[in-house]
Amino acid sequence: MFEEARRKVRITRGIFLLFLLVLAGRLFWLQVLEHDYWYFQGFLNRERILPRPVKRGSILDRKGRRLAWDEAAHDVELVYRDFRRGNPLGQAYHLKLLTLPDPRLPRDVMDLYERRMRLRGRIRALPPGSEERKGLQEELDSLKIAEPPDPRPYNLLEARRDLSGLAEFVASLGPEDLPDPEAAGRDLPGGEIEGELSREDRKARARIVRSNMEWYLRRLLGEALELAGRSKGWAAALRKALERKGRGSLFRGIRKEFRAARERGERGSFAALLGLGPENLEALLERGAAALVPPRRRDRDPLELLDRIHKRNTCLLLFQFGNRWALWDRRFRDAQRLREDRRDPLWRAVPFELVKWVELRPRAHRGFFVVDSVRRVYRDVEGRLPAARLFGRVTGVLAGDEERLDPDTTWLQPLPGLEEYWPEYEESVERRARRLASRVRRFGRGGLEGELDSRLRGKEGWTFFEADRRARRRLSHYQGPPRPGKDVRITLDLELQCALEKALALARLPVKAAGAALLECRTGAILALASLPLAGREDLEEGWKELARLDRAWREGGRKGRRPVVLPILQDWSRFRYGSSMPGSTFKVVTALAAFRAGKAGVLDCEGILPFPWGGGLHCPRAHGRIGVERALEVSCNVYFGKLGRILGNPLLEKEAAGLGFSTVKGRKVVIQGWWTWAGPPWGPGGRAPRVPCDPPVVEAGAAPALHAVGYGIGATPLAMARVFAALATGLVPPLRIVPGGGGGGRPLGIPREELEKIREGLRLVVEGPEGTARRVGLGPLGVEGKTGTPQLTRGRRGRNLAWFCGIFPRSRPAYSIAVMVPGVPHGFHGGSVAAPVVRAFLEQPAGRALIEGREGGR
Amino acid sequence: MRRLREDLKELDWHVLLLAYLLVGFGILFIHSATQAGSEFAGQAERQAFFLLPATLAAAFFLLVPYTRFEKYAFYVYGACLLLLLLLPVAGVSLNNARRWLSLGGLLFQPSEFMKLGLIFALARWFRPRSAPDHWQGLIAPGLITLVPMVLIVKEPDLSSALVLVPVLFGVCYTAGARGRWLLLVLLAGAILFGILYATGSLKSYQVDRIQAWWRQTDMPKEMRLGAGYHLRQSLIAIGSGGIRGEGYMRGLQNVYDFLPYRSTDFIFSVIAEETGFIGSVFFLFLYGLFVFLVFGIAARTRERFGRLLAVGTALLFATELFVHVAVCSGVMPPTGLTLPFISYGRSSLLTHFAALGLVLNVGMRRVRVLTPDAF
Repeated sequence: MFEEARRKVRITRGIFLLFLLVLAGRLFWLQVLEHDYWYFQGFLNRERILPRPVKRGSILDRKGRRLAWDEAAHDVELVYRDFRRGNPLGQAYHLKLLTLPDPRLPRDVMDLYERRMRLRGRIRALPPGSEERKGLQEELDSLKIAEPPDPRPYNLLEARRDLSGLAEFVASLGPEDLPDPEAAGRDLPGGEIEGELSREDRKARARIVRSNMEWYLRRLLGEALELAGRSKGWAAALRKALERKGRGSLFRGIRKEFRAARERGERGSFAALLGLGPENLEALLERGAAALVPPRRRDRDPLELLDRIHKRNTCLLLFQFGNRWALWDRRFRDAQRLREDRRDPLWRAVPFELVKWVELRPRAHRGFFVVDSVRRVYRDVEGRLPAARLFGRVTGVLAGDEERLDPDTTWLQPLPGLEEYWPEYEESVERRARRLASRVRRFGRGGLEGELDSRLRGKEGWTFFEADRRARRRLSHYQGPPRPGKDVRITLDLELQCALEKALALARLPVKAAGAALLECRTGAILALASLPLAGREDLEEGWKELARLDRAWREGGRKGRRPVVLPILQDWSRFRYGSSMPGSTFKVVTALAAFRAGKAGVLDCEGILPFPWGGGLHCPRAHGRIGVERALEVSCNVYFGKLGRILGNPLLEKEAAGLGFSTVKGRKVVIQGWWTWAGPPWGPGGRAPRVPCDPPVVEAGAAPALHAVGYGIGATPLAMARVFAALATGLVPPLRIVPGGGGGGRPLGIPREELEKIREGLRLVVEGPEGTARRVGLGPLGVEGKTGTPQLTRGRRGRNLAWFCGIFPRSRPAYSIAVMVPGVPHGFHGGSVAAPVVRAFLEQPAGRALIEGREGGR
Repeated sequence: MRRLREDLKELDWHVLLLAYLLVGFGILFIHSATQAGSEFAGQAERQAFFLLPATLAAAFFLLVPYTRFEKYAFYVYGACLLLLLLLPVAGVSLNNARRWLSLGGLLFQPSEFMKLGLIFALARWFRPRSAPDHWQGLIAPGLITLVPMVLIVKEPDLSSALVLVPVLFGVCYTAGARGRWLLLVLLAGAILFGILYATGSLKSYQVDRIQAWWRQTDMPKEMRLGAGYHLRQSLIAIGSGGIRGEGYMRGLQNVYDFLPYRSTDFIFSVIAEETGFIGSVFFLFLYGLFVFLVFGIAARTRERFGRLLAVGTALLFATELFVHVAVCSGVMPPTGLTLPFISYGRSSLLTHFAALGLVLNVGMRRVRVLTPDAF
C-alpha cells in the first residue's frame, strides 16, 4: 500500500515537472524567440512624440512694418480623470453628473414639441390657402412657451448642498454589490434619477457610481471631519446618513483616511472648500478658478441648456477662465471605454493672460494642462484689417478640426423646432459658436499666406521622449528644435493701403461696395489693394467657413484638381482682385492701343449711333461728328470706338488684350449680379515669382468686335486695369508683383512713345477737357490723367451700372497707376461722379500727396 | 526535549534554506516592484518584518508533533470556515472585493488560512479510511472542499478558490482514488465550463478576459486598454527581458508603472523582466526544487496523515507556482493569484510558512507504523 502511495506521489511529481517544462518552454518562446517583438511593443508603450510649435514668418510691408506675425500662445488641454479627482469643481460636477436625470428637455417642453410636430405634419398635408390649414396654423402659432425654462446653474455652493444627498445615495447603493437598477432609482433621495432612464442607462450609471462614489466620499468625508470644528453640522449629517444605512465600515474607512491625511499633513481640495462661505467662493472665482456658472445672467444656458439640448447621455462642461469660455464634451456612454487619462484639447492658441492662473496655480486647476502654441496676429488699424482679403486663410480648419468647430455640426446642433419656442436661442448658439471658433482659427493657407507658405511656414520642432503610464516624462531621447519661418517683405505699403481704404470709405459712394488697386508703373509692384466693405474680423469668419466648406468638398470629392486657395465668397467683397467685371469705357484705351499698332487710329465720324444688325446699337449722348482718338477718349465716344472695333476686328483686339495679360476664354461663365468670373488658378507672372492671388482678365470669345471695343464682353479686375494703365504710362507691360524682385522688368509694349502720348493726351482731356467725363472732380490739379467707364448692367431708369475710373499720375512722369471700380451704382451715376472722387480722396491724403510730390520713395 | 533534539537532527534543512532563499528573493523583487509607486512604498520592509511572525508560525507547526494536529484538524477547518462566514458581515471591502478581516487594524485574508485548513481536513478525512474504491467515496471530500470554495468565490476571489481543486484531487489520488475517476471529474468540469461560457453565464469581465487571452498577440486597441491590459503589459515585461534581463530595478515596464499589481499578482513578470530568461528559468528551477523536495518528503512518509499533509502542501505550492507563472506568461487567462514566499502578502506568508513548518514536521518525524496505511 505504501508503495502504491509512493508511486502516486511520484506520478504527481512527474506531472508537476511536466508543467514546469511547459512554463520554461513558454518563457523561452517569449524571452528568446519573441524578444524583439515584445521589446518593440514595450517601446511603443513608452514612446511619445510631441510637436514643438514653430513661429511662422512675419509678413512685412515694403517699409518693413509688420502686417501679419505669429506670437506665442498656449493651448489648454483637459485630462478628465485628474479633473474629476483632483479639482473640486470636477469632483462636484462628476458627482452631479452621475446622478443627473436624463438630460433631455423638460417634460412640458417635450410635450409641446411633439404636439407642434404633429400639427406641422397635418398642415403640410393640407392644400395651401384652405380654411382648415389656416386654423391649424393659428393653433400652431399659439403653442409657444412664454418663459424659457429657468436656468439652473450648477456651482460649488449647490454642490455642497447636494453632497449629503449624494452620500445617502451612495449608502443606498451599498459599496459591496452592483445595485439593482430598479432599486437604485427607487432609493434615491428626492427621486433624483427619474423613471425615464432605460435599463441599460441605469446599469451604466450605477456601475460608474459604484466604481467612483465610495472613493469620493471617503476622501470628502475625511476632509469634512478635519474641518469638523467649523462645519460640525456637515460631518454629523453625513455620519448620520451613513449610519442610518448601516455603512459603519465606510465611516471607519473615512476616519482612517482622515487620520492618515492629517499625519501626512495634507489638506485635500475639499478641505479648502467645505468651510467656505459665498464670499470665499467669490474670491476663488476671481482667482480664475474654473466655474460652471456664467457671470452674467443673460448667458443663461452654459450648462443646463447645452446639457438638455444635447443628445442623451452626454457630459458637457463649460469652463470659465477670466472672461472667456471653453467647452468640453464627452459621451457618457463612451466614458468607460475611452481613456480618461488622455488629453483632450480644450482651447487652442489663447494668450498667456487667459491661462496664467493655470500656470501659476496648478494645484487649484488640477486636470488642466497648458501647452505651448502660437497664433497668427494681423495688424489691426482702427478696427479693421488692412488688406485682410489678400492674406487668406486657414490652417486650423483645414487640418481637420472643422467638424469640431463648425457650428453646423453636432455639438451645437439646435434641436429642431426649439428656436420657435425660444427666439433668442439660435442667436445665442450662433454667438457662442462664433466665439469658440474664433479662438482656434488660424489664418493661413489660402491667399497670399498660401502662396508664400513655403517661405513662411518654417519647420515644426518635435520632442521624442519616453513617458510612464501616467504620461509623465521620464527620459528625453531627442528634441528637434523648431526652425522658424522666414519673414517675407511684400510690396504693399501700410500707409498707402490705409489711405486707399480710407478714400473708399470717405468717398460717399451711393453703394456700399467698391474695389481699388494702386500699382507702381515701372515695377508692377502692388502698393495697395482696397475693397469695400472694409474687412473686419467678422468678415473673415465668413470667409473661413466658406473655405472650410470648399475644402471639405474638395477632400470628399477625391482631392481632384487644385486645392481651393481662393475664397469665392470674397468675389462679392474683394473687388480689387476677384470677380472680373466689365471694364466698360476704360477698355477703350486698349482699343486705342490696338488701333495705333494697326495704324488705323484715324479720324472717324460719330453720328450718335452705331446700329447693330440684330437691332439696337451703340449710342452717344449726341453726335460728336468727325473726331480723333484724343477727343474720342475725352468724350468717351462709343460710336468712334465701336467703329474702330469693327475696323480692327476681334483678332487684333484679342491680340492687343493678350499682350496686356488678357486671355480669350470660352469657358462657362458665372454671372453674379452683373459681373462674371471663371474659376481659375491665381493669376500672375508665374514661374518662380509668387503669383498674385487674383482672377485673370479675360476676353469672351465670340462677342461682337464693336462691343469688345467699348469694354463689353470683357472681364477685368481693378488690378488688371491698373496694369493696363501702367503699361500706357511707361511703354512696358509690368509684371504684377506682390513680393519685390523676381520676374522680369516688364515687356515692351511695342508702340512708339508719340502715339502713347496721344492716348495720354486724351486721358488728360478726360479730367481737364471742357467735355471730359471726369472734368468736375478736380483731378487735373492733382496731376492725374485717366479714363472713366460706366458699363450698363441693366437698362432703364432702375438699371444698375458699373462705375470705373483708371488713371496714372503724376503727369510729369507717371509712376503710379490706380483703378477704382464701384459696382451696382444706380442709374444717373457714372464713373466720373462715383469712381473718380475716390481717386481724389486718396490723393488728398498725406500719403497720396507724397506720391504726387515724388516724396514717396520706391521700394 | 531530547526527543525534539533528535527529531531536529532529521530536519530537512535543504527545504528550509530554499524557502528562506525564495523569501529573500521575493523581498528583493518586491522592493524593485514598489520603487516607483509611492502608494505601495514600504511593502518590502513590511514583508521582511513579517518574516518574524511567519517564522514563529512555522516553528509552531514544526515543533509540535504533527500527529497531535490530527485530533484538531476539523477544528482548524471549522475555524477557517467560520472566518470565511464572517466576511460578508464584518469583512473589509477593498478593490470591489470583500476578502479581508480586520484584527486590531491588521488586515488578514481568511481564504489563505483556508488553504491550510482544507489540507488538514482532507488528510484527517482520509486518515482512518481505506482507499476509496468507488467514486462515491469522493463525495465527502468534495463537499469539504466545495463549501469553502463557494464562500471564497462569493468574496469574490475565483483564483484562490480554484487553487483548492488540485489540492483536493492530489490528496484524493494519493489517498487511493483512481486516476480515471478524477479525470472524469475534470472532464465534467471542463464541459460545464464550456456550457457556462457558451450560454453566457459567465460574468462579462470573465468573458472579456478569456477573449483577451485568446487574442493576446492581436488585441484591438480597446482590449489593450481594457480587459487585456494586465496580460499585455505582463507579456511585454517578460518578453522585454530577453535572455539576460534588463537588470535589477531597471525593468522599464516595472519602473514606468505600466505593469499592474506588480508586487503581488504579477511579481514573476518583474523577475522575468529584470533577470531575463536565465534568471527566470533559474527561479523556476529553485522553486521547482523546493516543491520537488516537499514531494520527496511526502514520498518518504509512511504514515498516512503525514503523507497526505505533505502531498496537500506540495500541491498547494505547485499549483500556486504554476498558475501564477502561467497567468503572467499568458499560458492561462488572467486571474489574480499571488506567488507564495515571493509576492507581498502577510496572510499568504503566514499560511505558507505554517505549511512549510508542517511539512518539515512530517519530514523529520518519521512515525513508525506497523500498518502504515488505512486498515
